[in-house]
Amino acid sequence: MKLTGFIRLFFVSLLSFTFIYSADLFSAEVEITISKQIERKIRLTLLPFYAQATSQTEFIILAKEIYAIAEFDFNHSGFFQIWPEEKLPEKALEQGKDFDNLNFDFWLDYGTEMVAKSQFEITGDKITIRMKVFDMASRAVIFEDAVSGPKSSLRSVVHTITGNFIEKVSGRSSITNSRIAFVAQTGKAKNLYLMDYDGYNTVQFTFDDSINIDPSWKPDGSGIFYMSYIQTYPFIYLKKINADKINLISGKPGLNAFPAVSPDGQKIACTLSFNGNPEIYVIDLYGNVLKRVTWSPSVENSPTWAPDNQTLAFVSDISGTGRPQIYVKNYLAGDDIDPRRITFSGNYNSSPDWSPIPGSSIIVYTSLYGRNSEICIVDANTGDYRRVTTTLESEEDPSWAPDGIHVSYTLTQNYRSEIYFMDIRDAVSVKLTAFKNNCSSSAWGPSYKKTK
Amino acid sequence: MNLKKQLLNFAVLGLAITMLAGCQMGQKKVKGDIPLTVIPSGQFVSPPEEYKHIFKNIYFDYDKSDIRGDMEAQLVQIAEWLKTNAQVLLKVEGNCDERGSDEYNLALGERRSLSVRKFLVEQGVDSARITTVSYGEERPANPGHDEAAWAENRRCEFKLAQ
Repeated sequence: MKLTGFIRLFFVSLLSFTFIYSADLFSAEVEITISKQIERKIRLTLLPFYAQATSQTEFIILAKEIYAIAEFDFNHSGFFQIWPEEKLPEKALEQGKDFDNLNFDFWLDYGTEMVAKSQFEITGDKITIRMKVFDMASRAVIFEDAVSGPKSSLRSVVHTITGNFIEKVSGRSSITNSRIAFVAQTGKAKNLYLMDYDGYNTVQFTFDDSINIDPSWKPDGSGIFYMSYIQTYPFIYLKKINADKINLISGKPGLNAFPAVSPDGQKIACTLSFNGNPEIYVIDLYGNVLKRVTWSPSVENSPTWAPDNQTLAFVSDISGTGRPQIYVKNYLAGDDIDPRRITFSGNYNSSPDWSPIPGSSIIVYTSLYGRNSEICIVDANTGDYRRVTTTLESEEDPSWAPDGIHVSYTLTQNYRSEIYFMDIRDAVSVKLTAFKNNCSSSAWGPSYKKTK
Repeated sequence: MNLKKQLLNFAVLGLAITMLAGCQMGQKKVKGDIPLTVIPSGQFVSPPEEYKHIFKNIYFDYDKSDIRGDMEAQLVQIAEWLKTNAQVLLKVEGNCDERGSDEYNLALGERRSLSVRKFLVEQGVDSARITTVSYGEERPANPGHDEAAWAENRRCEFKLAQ
């Protein structure tokens, strides 16, 4: 027993040493499975951001602002915890002033694993941030980067440099510069909005008094497919991020709803009812039907693509229980092939979203427990599932972040809804919206690396 | 009697051949679905006052889209009216109560509209005259959060156009 413990300890320390050189090994370690909940996080000491030239009041305020953005990014990356938890003494903070070197022996007693030193510099309207991260185990610099941008996009500049470091260590797409689309209600109207992943920089995206819902990001981040009643009937539209024009994609008689773009950006899964019943279809980017996927007398909705660009998960109430359950089917499979049911627990399972990580079979979804909705994950291969949220509020409509670790979702309390996100492993909620009106239907956009 | 039987046999054989042909083409036919072919261009409005007693809302059970027995007489009346006013187009608006997911309810509302449409078509109304729209749980008739409100919200409403 003791020996096993020792071997494990040895292995962990070996692992914490080797991931620096092999991002793949570490990312395998954080692979989301049904049973795994808590991961060990790297203890990162984030020293103050020092201005290169001066220490005027403006710079001190700016330094604090930059620090707060970076601290949030690391604390919510899923890979780091800011260390130590208590405030560092002045003599420790001042170690940050020597940007190029680290006195490794000084930090031994703190139990930290990495120390990040940062500088910033302002020239005219431009801000440059430099970051250097020292690894205690190897006593070497493991990350060094400089990012510049206009002062007006300070948050984005900080998110970029933190994101670059998180990607280097995790081997996964960073979320720090990603955006989340969501729906906010004003009176009877519902419109789409966009915000940064940390809830900042909210902008309105659609502007009419109809109902605009179910956003689905193009994989390159250049536009959003969604459903709108702007022309009376529920049709599917595309709006590019930096354009005013909206384009009708599918306007067939009946329901045109729940657009879900494939990860390769080539096709859209959706529900159409022009044949007389709501069924899952795959259409091209111009609305032409490529394939009818379901042939049931029941209701099919909310399709989501597996990373293989072929397998779909969706909701159907064909089970005979009269209640919705989640099914999977390869959209190219024959019409006679029945979808395979993957949820068997609970009598109301809906809103599936398939993990974006290549090869993953993990689907996040909503399950009804009494009167409350809860977020669950299920393995599409085995049917094993786990309830993730356990609060007295209703959590629903989850959407994976590009890192395959975080999800955004709607939390409803006393009939008021806001958007939150969480790390699926610890389910600690982070509130993102603070609107006067209800927010719902969030869709997490791609990593900024893909939008460049 | 004998002739009837023969006809029935013939019909069964015909059906079997059709199904076989369907299978050979690798396509399943879903029984009873009546395709929507066009979106009518007319301006749909609430039924005029004198016909409101005919176009009363049709209500549904929780999570169900089939026509309740106590709603059939109302629908028969609507079908008769539509048959004698052949120039009028009908829009069936499906709605749900707030329970369950927004997305599922949007699809369920559409299915409720389609159930009403199918019933009317089976009564002899031309399917091309009836269009559907689902509002899911977006347009509750009663904003309450109890069984009485939910029952009022699980409904199809009617709009008419010339």
